[in-house]
Amino acid sequence: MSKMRIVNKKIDDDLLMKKRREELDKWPTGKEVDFEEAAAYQKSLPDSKVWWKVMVKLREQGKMSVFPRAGTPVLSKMIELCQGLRESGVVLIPVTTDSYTRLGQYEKVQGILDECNKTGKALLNGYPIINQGVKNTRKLVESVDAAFSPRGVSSEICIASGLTTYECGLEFITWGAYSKKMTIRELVEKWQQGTRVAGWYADRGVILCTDLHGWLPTAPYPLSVNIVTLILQALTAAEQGLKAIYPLVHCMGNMAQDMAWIRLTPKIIRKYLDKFGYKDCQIIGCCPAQTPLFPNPMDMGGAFAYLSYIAMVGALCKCNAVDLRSIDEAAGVPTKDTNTVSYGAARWIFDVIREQDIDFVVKGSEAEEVVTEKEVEAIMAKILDMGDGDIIDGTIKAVEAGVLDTPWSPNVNVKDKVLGVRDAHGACRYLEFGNLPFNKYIKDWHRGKIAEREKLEGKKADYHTAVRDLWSFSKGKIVGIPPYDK
Amino acid sequence: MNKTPTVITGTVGMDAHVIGTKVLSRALREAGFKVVELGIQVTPEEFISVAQETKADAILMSSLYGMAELDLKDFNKKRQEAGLQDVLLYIGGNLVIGRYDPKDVEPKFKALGFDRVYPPGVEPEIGIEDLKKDLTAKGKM
Amino acid sequence: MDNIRLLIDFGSTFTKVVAVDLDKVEIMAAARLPSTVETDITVGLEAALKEISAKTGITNLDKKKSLACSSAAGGLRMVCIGFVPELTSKAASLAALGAGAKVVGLYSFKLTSREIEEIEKIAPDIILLSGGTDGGDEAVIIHNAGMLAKTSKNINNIIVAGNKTTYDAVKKAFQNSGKHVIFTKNVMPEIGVLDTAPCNKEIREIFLNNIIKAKGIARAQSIVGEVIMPTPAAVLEAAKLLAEGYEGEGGYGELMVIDPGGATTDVHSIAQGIPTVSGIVLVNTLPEPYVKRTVEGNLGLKYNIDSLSEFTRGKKLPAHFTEICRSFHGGQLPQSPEEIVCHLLLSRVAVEVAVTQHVGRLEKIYGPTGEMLIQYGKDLTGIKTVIGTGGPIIFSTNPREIMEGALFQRENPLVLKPKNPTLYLDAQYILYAVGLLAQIEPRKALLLAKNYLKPI
Repeated sequence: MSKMRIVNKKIDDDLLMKKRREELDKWPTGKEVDFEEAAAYQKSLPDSKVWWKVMVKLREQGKMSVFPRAGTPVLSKMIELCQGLRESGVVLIPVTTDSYTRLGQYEKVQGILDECNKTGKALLNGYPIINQGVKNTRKLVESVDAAFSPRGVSSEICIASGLTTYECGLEFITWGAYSKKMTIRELVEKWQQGTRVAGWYADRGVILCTDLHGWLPTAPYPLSVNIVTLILQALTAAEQGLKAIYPLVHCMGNMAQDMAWIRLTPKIIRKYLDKFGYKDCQIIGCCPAQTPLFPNPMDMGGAFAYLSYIAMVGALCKCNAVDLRSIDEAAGVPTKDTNTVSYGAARWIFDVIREQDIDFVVKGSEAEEVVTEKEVEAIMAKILDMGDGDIIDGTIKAVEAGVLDTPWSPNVNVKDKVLGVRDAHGACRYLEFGNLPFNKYIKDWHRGKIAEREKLEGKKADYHTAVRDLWSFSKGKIVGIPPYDK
Repeated sequence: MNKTPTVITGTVGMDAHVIGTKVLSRALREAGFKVVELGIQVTPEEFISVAQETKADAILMSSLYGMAELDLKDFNKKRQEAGLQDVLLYIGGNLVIGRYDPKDVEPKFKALGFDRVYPPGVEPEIGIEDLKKDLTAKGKM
Repeated sequence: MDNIRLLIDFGSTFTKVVAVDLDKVEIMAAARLPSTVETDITVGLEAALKEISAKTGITNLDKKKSLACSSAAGGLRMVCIGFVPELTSKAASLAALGAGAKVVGLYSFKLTSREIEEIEKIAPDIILLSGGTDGGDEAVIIHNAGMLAKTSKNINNIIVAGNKTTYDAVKKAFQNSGKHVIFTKNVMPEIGVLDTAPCNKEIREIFLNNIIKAKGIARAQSIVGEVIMPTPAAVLEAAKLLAEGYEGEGGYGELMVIDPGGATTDVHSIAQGIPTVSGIVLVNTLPEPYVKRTVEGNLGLKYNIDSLSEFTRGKKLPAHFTEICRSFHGGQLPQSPEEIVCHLLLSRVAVEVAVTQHVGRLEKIYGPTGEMLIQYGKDLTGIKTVIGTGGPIIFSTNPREIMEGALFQRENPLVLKPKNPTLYLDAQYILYAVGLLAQIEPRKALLLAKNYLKPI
C-alpha cells in the first residue's frame, strides 16, 4: 500500500477558507468577523498592542515580563482589571477564558453572562471572549495600552478583536505526551492547517505570534530531540506563512545544561530558518519552562523553590519571558491567592536580578552547548537525508524509524528504544541511544559522564537507575546518590 | 512460583501519565508475572473484557490526573456482572484533585471495590509484595 | 375496496378505529367509542365499525384486512429481572419498554422467596430474565431460574436473555416446571453493549400467540384481522418511521414523541443523543438505546392526579387549584374556564417532568484543567422535531402550552431538552395507526403522517 507523501508545502486556500467559516459559525458572534476587515483592524493597532513588538522591545530594554492571568466576565470590570495591571507596569496581558468557553459551551456561557451583566457579579472564572464577540472585545483592546493574548481558545474572533497571538492547535507536545494512537502523519497535517491561518494574516501584513513547545522530554533526558522538534515545527510553520515565534526551553534542573539550552535553542532555530530561506520568520524571544514532574502536592516549599529556580535561570540568561506554573501545579487547581504569591516571587526575581544585567557563564555550560548542537545537527542531517530534502517527509520517516525518539511516551507509534539518566552532577545523559544517529564522539561523551556516577555509587547504571531518576527532581535531589535509598 | 498469575496494567480513563504503569509493568514481568500491558487511557470496559479474555488474576490501575473516582464510579458493578468478583483490584496514584491526606482517599476506593490503594510515588516492589501475598491467600500462586 | 384499510386500537378506555384510503393517502373516517373489553370486546368494536360505515357510506368494509394494536386489559404487563440494578436489570427494562410493555416489577440480584411471592401476586404476562454478560456471572441467573421454576401457575411466559453460557443450566432448572420458556440473545452481551432487538422480537411473538388470547382480546379477531402489537409499540414504530423516512421519502430526522395519558406519560425519542458540543465527557453505565421509550408511572391525568399535583410545588397556581384537581379524579374532563386552566397546568407539568426524566443531564465537576462537564443520558438539545399525541394534548384548548413543557429551559441549562424544535400535533390521533400501517405499507404510512401532523 502506498501512502500519499505529505510534504512541506503551503496548504490549499479554498480548503482553508471553508474550515475557517465552519469554525466561526459555531456562535452568532462569529458573524462579526470579516476576514479582510479583521486584517485591516490588526494593521491599525499601535506597536504597544502588538505582542511580538512588545516582546522585542523588552529584549532590547533588558527587561522581562510576568504573564499574570487576567479574566473576569463583565466587560467594564475586565477593562478595569486590565487597566489596573497596566498601571502596575504589566505590558503583556494573557486573557484567560472561562472553563465553559474552553469547552465550547457558548449557550451556557450566554445564560450566565446575562446574569453577570445584570448583577455585576463574576459568575464565570474568566473572560468569555467568544460570547463577548468582536465589538465588545475591541472596546477592551482600545481601553488599555497593552498587548493581549488569548489563552485556551483558538478562534479568529480573538484576531478580529485585536489580540495579537494565535494558538495554532496541535503540536508535538500533544502527540508525544498526551495521545495514545495518533500517528505522526496526523500530527503534521493538523499543524500545517493550524499554522496556515496565522499565515493567511501574515500574507496581509499582520504578524501574529505563536509559542512552540515541541516534543516534551517527560523524564530526565537530554534536550536535543526536543530542540530538533522545535526546528521542525518552526520550519513547517514558516512554510505556512507564520512570521513570529518564540520557543519554550524545557529546563531539567542542571544549571549548566539549562543555560546552554536556553542559549542554543533560538540560535539554532534561526540557523535552520535561514538555511531554508525563511529569513522573515522572526524569533522574538526565548522562554524557559517548567516541565519535569513537580514536587508532590504537599511540598509547597519545594514547589516555591522550583518556580524561583526557573525564574532565576531566565533572569540570568537575559530572557524576556518565563513560562511559569504556580505552586499549586501538582495539586491540580490553582487558586487566585497562590497565583498571586507565585507571580509575586517571579516578579521580584525579574526586577532585582534581571535588571542587574549579570554576565556569567556556569562552568561546563559551553561544553554542553557544543555537544547538544552536534546532536541536533546529527539528527537534522539524518531527517533531511530520509526525506530526500523534504522536512515533513523526513520527520514522518524519522519517527517511524526511531531516529526521533524519546523514552516513556504514551503514544504507541513511538519507538521508545532510548533511555536517559542523570550523571554525577545531575545533568541529563543518554543511557540507551536506540536509533538516534549519533557518532562515537557523542556516545563516548555521555558514557563517560555516566561512568563518573557509576564510580560514585559503586554500581552500573541501568534501567532501574533511570526509573529512580524519574522522581529525583521532584524529590529535591539530583546530584549523587538519590534520597530515596534512605 | 508454581502457577504464573496473569495481571493487567494500564491508566484508567483519559489519563495520559504513562510512566508509572510502564515501570510497574516491567517490574511485574521481572518478578515472574504474565503482564497484559494496556498502556494509557484504558476504559473500565476494556479492563473488564481483557480480564475475562485473559482469565486475569489481578488488575493494577494507575491514575495521576485526579479523576479516578469518576472514571471508576460503576466499575465494581460492572465487574460483578462480568463475573470477575474474584479478580484482585489495585490502584495507585494521585487519585483526587487538590491537597489531600492519602488516609482519606483509601476508604473511598475500598468502597468502590479496590483491594489495595496506593499514594503516588510508591516503589513497584511494595505493590508486588502485596500482590504475591494476596494471591497466595487466594490459592492462586 | 382494496384501497381501504382499517386501523384499530383497543385501548383501556376507548376503542378507536381509523379508515384510511391508501390510494389518496387520506383518512376517510374515524370513530372513538367506549371500550367493552371487560365484558365482550366485540360489542364496542362492532359499534365503532358501524360508525365508520355510516360516515363513509361503505357497508361492506373489508374488516379482515385491518390491523390492530391493544393496550386493553392493563396492557402488556412485564416483570424484569437482572443482576446489577444499573446494568442487566436496567437493560431488561429498556428492552421491555421498547417492546411496548408496562414494567410492573423490576428485580435485581438473587431473588428471595418474598420477592417470588410478590411476583406471583403481580402475575405479569411475561417475565424477562437476564443477568451476567456472556461469559460473565453465572450464579445469579441460575439461582433466579431455579426460584422462578417453582412458582405457581400465575407465572407462565418467561423469556431468558442473559449470560448464554448458563443456558443449559437454566434449561435444566425449568425442566418439568410446565413454564413456557423462550431463550434468546443476551440483552447485555458485554459491558457497554445493549442488545434489545432479539428480546423485542420474542416479546411481540408471545404477545401475539399467547397474551391476546388470555386477555379476551383475541375474540375480536373473529371480526377483524390480527392484533399485532401493544399500542405503545405501534406509537414507537411510527416514531421510528417518521424519524428515518422510507426509501427516498425523507423523514423528520431525530425526534421526540410525548404522549401523556390517563395513568402514565410516555416519552419516546429516536435519537443518538451524543454530546452536541465538544469537550463534554459522556458517562453512561449502560449505553442509551437509539429508540428509547420511558414511562413515568406517576404522571397520569386520570388516575394519578395527586402525585402529579405534587410536582406543581413552587409554581404559581390558579385559583381553587386543589379543589378543582380533586374534581378530576376518575377522569372527569374540565368544563369551566377555571377548570381548563388547572387541567392545562397539570398536563404541562406531566410533560415537563416526564421529558426531564427522559432526556440526559450535565453535571459539573472539577478536573485537572478546572471545571468540566460530564453528560449522563441522551443530549436531545439539537433535535428538530417534537410530536405531541395523547388525549390531554390533542383535546386541549392549548396544545402548544402543554408541549412547551418539553422544551429546554434557560434556568435549567443542565437538563438536555430540545432547544429549538418544531412542535407537531397529532390532531387526528393517528400515530398508532401510522405505526400499524408501517408494518405493511411503510411509504404510505409515512405520507399519511406527513399529511396529518400539524405544526403548531
